[in-house]
Amino acid sequence: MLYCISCIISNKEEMFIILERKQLSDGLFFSKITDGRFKTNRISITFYNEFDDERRSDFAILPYILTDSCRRYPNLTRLTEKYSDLYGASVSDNLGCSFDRRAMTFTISCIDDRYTLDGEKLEEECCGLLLDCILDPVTENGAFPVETVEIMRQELIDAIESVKGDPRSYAAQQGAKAAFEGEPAGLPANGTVEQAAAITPQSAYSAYLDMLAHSRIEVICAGCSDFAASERVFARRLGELQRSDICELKVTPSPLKSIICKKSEKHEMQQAILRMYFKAPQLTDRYAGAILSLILGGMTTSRFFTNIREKQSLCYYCSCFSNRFKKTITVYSGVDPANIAKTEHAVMSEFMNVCMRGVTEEELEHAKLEIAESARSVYDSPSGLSSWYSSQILDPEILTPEQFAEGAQKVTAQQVMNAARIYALDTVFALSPEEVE
Amino acid sequence: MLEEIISERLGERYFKYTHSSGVTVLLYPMKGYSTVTAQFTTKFGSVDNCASINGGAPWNIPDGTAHYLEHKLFESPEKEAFARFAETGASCNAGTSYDSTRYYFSCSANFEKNLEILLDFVQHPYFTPENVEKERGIITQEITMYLDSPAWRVCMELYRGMFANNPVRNDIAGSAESIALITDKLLYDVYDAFYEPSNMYLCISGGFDMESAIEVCERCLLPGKSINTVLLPPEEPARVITPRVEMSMPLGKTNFALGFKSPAYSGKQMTEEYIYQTLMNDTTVGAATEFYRSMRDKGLINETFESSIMMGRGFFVPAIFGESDQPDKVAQAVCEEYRRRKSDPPTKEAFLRAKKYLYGDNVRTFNNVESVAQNLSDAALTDTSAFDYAELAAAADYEGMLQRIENFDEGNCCLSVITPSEDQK
Repeated sequence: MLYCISCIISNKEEMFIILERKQLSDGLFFSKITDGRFKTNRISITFYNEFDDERRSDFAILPYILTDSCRRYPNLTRLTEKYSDLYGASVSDNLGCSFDRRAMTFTISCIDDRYTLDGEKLEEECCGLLLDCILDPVTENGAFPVETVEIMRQELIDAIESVKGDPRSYAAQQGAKAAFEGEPAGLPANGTVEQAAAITPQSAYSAYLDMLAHSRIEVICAGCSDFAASERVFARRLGELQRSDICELKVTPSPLKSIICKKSEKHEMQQAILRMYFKAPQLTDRYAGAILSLILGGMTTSRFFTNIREKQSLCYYCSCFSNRFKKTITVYSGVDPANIAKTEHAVMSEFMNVCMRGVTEEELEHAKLEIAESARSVYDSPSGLSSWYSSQILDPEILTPEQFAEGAQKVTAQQVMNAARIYALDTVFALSPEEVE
Repeated sequence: MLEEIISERLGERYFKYTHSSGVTVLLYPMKGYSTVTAQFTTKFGSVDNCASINGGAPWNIPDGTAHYLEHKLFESPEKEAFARFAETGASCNAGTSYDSTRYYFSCSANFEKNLEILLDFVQHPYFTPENVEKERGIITQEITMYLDSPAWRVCMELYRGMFANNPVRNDIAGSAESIALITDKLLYDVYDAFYEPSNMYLCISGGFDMESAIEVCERCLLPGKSINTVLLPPEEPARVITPRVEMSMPLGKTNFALGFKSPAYSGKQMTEEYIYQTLMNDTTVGAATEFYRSMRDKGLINETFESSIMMGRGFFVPAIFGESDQPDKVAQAVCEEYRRRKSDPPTKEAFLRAKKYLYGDNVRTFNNVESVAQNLSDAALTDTSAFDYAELAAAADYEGMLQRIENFDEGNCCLSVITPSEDQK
């Protein structure tokens, strides 16, 4: 064992949660969070690897293929039957960009053995099934089956094209392209229709082998089990892989453009969508950045909600969120097409107001309460605990939700104003109906 | 008096009592949990657009009124509800569905104070011509936002194709025209008629102290005006209006929804029918069937294909959703498969697997404070127990499913299609 921490992250009355994190081998980490209150167990495995532009679709097809079958359950019918036998414990997937790397996650969640109708033992079986899907897919002639790739390629193309039908997703995709040009965060994880159309059984299989051999792998288990059985299964089966040149995780703040990028697109839609990206590559005060984002557009009493929606009635929604790794604040709003410019101006005014006049003690207090609330709620679901700790895998010190909330409590209004002054507008993207100029 | 409702199967329990005002209170303490969720719900939704008040003539209420009222109830002559919750750190929101309106908060501190705020703002409406007017633009934008959602539109068009009179065919938020008719006076009248305490439910789940909750209820729940409101739902023909509706939008691929018009159910029977018809769908066209695999292998459907049941007061619609370049062919194949299964039913093994899936899904919902509150509200609205689902799912038998397959009227259906608009093709 290369690395291990184990701690009780909460031992308040009636609440006893244990976090254990280990490095099982080079680039393979296993974390478990045990809390007896839950009725389910959630096991996830994430593969992080380099986000090269050209092979995006070759990697993006993998979740389709790997959750469709495995050698033990060689088609979706058999695999789905098995899911049902396991009380609906299906393997789900998620593909995105985290820590400037492609992050491909496979998750299985099952009810605890205590609640099965016939006393079945589910956890170890679910863990085995998850690994069967990932490590033991159906192959033919040293690649994925031609027929499977043909079907899944079309489904991937459908998924890429379906973004056009959802204006909010499409605006987010196009906005990110403009804001994070040249960075992994600007690349749609599924790739392009052209890339997807060029996938072959060999190219997909080659991506698969690269994923197994070179990814940084993070396994996170959360639930009521002690996950001893899962740990044994993961150590044995992932330990058998031949691995080298493990992908290093690192994240760099998004650079601020020297000239504000303004882009717009026309789309057949009724409501316009405005997205604005503010960046602060030099920001070091993590807590002040989080509070600033809440005060601007992350609470029901935020400035955007109160002033832009409620007082000016410019839009149905206007909110923002921050990314502490990329050091960005993204504003998004659904507006009447005639109000795009007014809304953009209003957002800028609110930002400038904080820079010039700061925030009130009341706003600061509300934001701190919001953070304290969110921190406590992390404990109430396996997925909340899992997300909380997986977001900290690169941090030198792992914080409990309470420790983070305590850090936020110390932030002053001056710190929030200072943080706002570091941020600058980087990109504005507007998606609007075709007939409105 | 507190009634204890226990599930030995799940090792869970909760408590129910009727407050002297008439409000039904459901309390579900969850040991060791940090957060608490409280939902204050009225049995008034968008479908309730015609009623008789104290025996009077039918009163037609503009579409979108329930939703408009929900937006405006947060207003107050002093500090609005959002600002009050911000002072305690709680997050609050509300939602209007076809048959109910819910106001809720989540918190992990200051529970009693938050409950006081919730009960206070919901029981003290404050509508003025100015604040009602101000909201019109915001709600118009909300209506517009949904018009851009293919998933929403395909469903709305399906309802319009299926139902002649049932108000489920109208958008929950109404239309720009219908909300233009809404005034402060109308909102007060509607509030008095439908926010009568006997029409309301307070459901609390999570880490809270029962005695404190009851103390706040006793102190803050107010008597109503004893208005007798009788809903006057329209008559609805048994058959769908049209077998097919179509429109176009910017899309990558054609979206479709195939809905089957079924009699509406209520109470425990609705839960039971939901369970059996879900089992029927899962074993007939679900992902574990040969039918599904064959359709997917032929490229007729993709992973978006799914069956679900949309239901509420006055409607029950088993439906299939998905994307396909040949939606009519898919619809025909689905109907044929339902028909075929009457003489060649799914196996008992397939039934048992589907049953485990369904049961497991329900057990999962008791893992989470918010979904427990949702279960309580759903149960209260249908006058059932939050544990009925798990019990009925565990008790479901093969013969019961075969009976649903036999009785299923696959011909009484409507196909809603949204094709990519010309420039997307």
